[in-house]
Amino acid sequence: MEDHLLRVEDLQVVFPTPHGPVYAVNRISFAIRAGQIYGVVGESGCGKTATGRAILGLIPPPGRINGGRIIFRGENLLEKSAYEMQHLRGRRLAMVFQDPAAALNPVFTIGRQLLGIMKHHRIASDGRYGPRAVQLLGDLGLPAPERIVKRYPHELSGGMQQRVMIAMALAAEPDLIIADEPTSALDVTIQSQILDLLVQLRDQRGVTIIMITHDLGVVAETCDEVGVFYLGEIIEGGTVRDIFHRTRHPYTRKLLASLPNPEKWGRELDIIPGSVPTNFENIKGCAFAPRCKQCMAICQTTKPKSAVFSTTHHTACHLYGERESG
Amino acid sequence: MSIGEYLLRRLWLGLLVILGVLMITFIVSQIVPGDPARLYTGPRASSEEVAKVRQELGLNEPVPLQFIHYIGRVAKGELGYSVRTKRPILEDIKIKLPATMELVVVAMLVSFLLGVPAGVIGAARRGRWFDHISRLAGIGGVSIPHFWLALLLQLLFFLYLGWLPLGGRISQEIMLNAPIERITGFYLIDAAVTGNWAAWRDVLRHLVLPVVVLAPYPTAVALRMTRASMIDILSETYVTAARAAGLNEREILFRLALKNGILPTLTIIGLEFAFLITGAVFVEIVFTWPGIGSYMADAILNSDIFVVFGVTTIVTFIYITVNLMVDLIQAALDPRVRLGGGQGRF
Amino acid sequence: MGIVHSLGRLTGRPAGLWHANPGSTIWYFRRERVAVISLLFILCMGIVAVAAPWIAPYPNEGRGEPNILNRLKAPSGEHLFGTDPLGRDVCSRVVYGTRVGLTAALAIVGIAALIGTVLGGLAGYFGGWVDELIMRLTDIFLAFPPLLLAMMVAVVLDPSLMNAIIAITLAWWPWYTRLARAQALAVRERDFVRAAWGIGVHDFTILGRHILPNIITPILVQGTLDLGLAIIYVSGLSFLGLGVPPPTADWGAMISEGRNYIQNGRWWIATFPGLALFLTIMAFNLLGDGIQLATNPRTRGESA
Repeated sequence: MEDHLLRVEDLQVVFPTPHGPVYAVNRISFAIRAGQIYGVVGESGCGKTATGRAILGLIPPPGRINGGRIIFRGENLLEKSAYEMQHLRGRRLAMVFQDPAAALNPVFTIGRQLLGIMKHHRIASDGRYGPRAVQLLGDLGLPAPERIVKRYPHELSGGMQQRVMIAMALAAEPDLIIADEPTSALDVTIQSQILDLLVQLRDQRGVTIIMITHDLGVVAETCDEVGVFYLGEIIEGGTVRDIFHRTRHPYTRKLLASLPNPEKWGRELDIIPGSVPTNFENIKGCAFAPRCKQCMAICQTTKPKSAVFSTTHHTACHLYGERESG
Repeated sequence: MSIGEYLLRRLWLGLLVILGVLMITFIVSQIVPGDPARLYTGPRASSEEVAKVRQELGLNEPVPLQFIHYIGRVAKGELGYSVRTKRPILEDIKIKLPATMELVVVAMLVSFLLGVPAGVIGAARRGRWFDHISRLAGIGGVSIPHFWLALLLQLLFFLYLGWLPLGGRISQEIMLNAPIERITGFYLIDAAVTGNWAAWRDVLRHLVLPVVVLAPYPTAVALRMTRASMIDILSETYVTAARAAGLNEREILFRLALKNGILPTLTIIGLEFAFLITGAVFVEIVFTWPGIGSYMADAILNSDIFVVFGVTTIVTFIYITVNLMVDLIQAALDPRVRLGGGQGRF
Repeated sequence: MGIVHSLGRLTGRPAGLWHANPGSTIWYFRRERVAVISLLFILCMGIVAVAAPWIAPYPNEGRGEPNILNRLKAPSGEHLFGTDPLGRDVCSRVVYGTRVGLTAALAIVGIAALIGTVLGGLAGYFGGWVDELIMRLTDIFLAFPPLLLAMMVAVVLDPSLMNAIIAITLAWWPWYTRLARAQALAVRERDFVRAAWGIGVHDFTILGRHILPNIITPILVQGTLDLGLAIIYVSGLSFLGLGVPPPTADWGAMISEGRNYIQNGRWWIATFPGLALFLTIMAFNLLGDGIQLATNPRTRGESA
């Protein structure tokens, strides 16, 4: 009995380069229930975007999915043909992109783009798409939607563009939306509006959302459960409370500590020494070992197995050995 | 900047350029070795006759004054007389231009109809056999010297196979039995409009070889341009977004992406035109096509210098006009061009 | 110094030209098999051009000496490509034709690129009235369809290789000027130039040491791409009678000669020079295409 909307098991995504293969996503596993907002958080280059693209089947060649399963609504997406995947996209799975200006086609009006999606998926049984489009835009907080429909993307502000893009993702009423850094390109004030909007979507329409972000603040505001990514691996996963209040992994601790905090006024910024390396070979030990203050000898030779603290909270770190839930 | 303002600005620049063009033509004409008056009258004229012609042509006046006169004459359309045909050059050009234009237009149409879809598909199937074949074909098309190709095709299709005529626009019998009424000078149009289908088929047969010779280069250019522009476009985020929304590849390629990609392809119309009109010179020689190309070639052979200047001037004016229209269409289609900014991609 | 630096970047220091580092431009170029074959072909052509007197079976006829008794013979064991209306061995003529073609192409591209670099560099760097002047000039020259302009100039001059080169160069220099100017404008905005200004370095020193090395690479690339086109132009002019005068062997002129004999079925006079022309141009274009593919970060490694 499958009670998770999406279950990712052992997913591996590899990109061949002249210098050797890069494992952007290195055997990750996580699961999401319907109606949840799941956060995928980490620095740039840690595999968050690749994970999102993999779920949608949009890994650009020469990259490819090397192994694992993606179980969506009980079916393994990786076993589906390209044709079947194309039909799932938009209708069941959708994506919201980071830069709304780049994600909207500059030579078509908003209306045409929205209608294109709706008509393709045959959403309206009565054939009246125009009013539906206007209605959707209005629901998402756009003022005067009947006029927006006639405008071109470059005539709208960033916040409005992002709402339009969310509208396009919602157009075919999908079950799961992957939001890839949906607010990174926006002003701070607009950011919180968009985040509120996304949470509202979950509350009112029951849409499940994967929130990909590098900003822990966004995670705190919106997410129910979180997976912390580093170098293509999930090094800690759990509910928001688990991650923020019962932090286990040294990397997660460092991430939280590096958030600007008025209480630490006057002290040096707590940074993580070194920078994220590019993943050229399958690293033998723990991926974070070179930069970890609490690194032990074993960390450099063996990959840490998952240590489980509760039904939701787990981490991969040698500090905790192998623990089963107590 | 509105379209009107843009138009005015371009017209003004165009005028300056035309002036410059005339200046260069004039300067070049001054380098002509030998006495232009004698060229005009022929080697057997007496010295008085030559002196008289010198006076008529205003060759005794100071050079800047000659230039002013020259501009005046050109403005009135007086390009001089052809030594060979003894007719005003402008008249000759008016008669012969439609023949060449027909060739040019048909070749250009073919190039777009073949090149653009091939470029789109090539961009979508990068690295696969279609792409490699069409790229190689494209480079081949660009590399063939058209005057050589013309000869080869003549050899093959006329001499050995006898399928197509040797040259000319229409055959003798059609000219006698079903002559085409001259409305536009474009035989394809004229024959169709008057319902003269026998002539129409004949004209088509005559058009085949010259167009086949002229078309490869512009087709290759159109293909390359479309392919390059489409490759850029296909890497844009909105294409991935369209895929994420579940739209199928064909619609994405030919509707969503192409509308973005067609703009740079328009810019090559000017380029194609330049190639076609100069290529026409060679093709018209080989196929004895009665257009301004062979007119020019004959003039070169016979050192009919004024014709060379006259044809170059007129063709350059047409070229300038074509470029102007392409710029205007671009400005009208893409508001970013008018603002002078844009994403710098084009 | 800057030029060596740029070349070094091409090969990926510290490796040399032969053992290129993976990921460097030359490494990608070597994987474009077609382009490498073309390069070899062109080098062979170059050898043929230089060694013509030793390679051509009948070198005197190649240079133009007629042999009337032998006229219009079809291709045979003695005359691989047959003989022309004056009895000269077509094969030798084709071999000698490489000299004219390659010399002209190199000269045209070289001179036009030189003029373009200088004028464009000056225009881009100094701006102001210098820029305006040079730009208006290029606008005017570019208003002509290039081959027509070359024809017009060549007509008034006596037919000779030099004059043909001059005529075509006159039509070509504006392209290179535009290219160089755009590059110079971009380089001018970069920090190290501003730093040099700040220190008070002379304009001419800046031009020579900083601007020049940075604008030269795209011009070289464009020049290589244009070599094929240059040969077409030269042969085209010769075909019309505006290039090298007889008896010098030139492919375009030979094709024109052969034209009259096609109707009688004597196909070899025009076919072989044309074939040589086609292959040479194709080789240059493939080479240029390969260079473009290898240098464009988006298209690298496609054909492998």
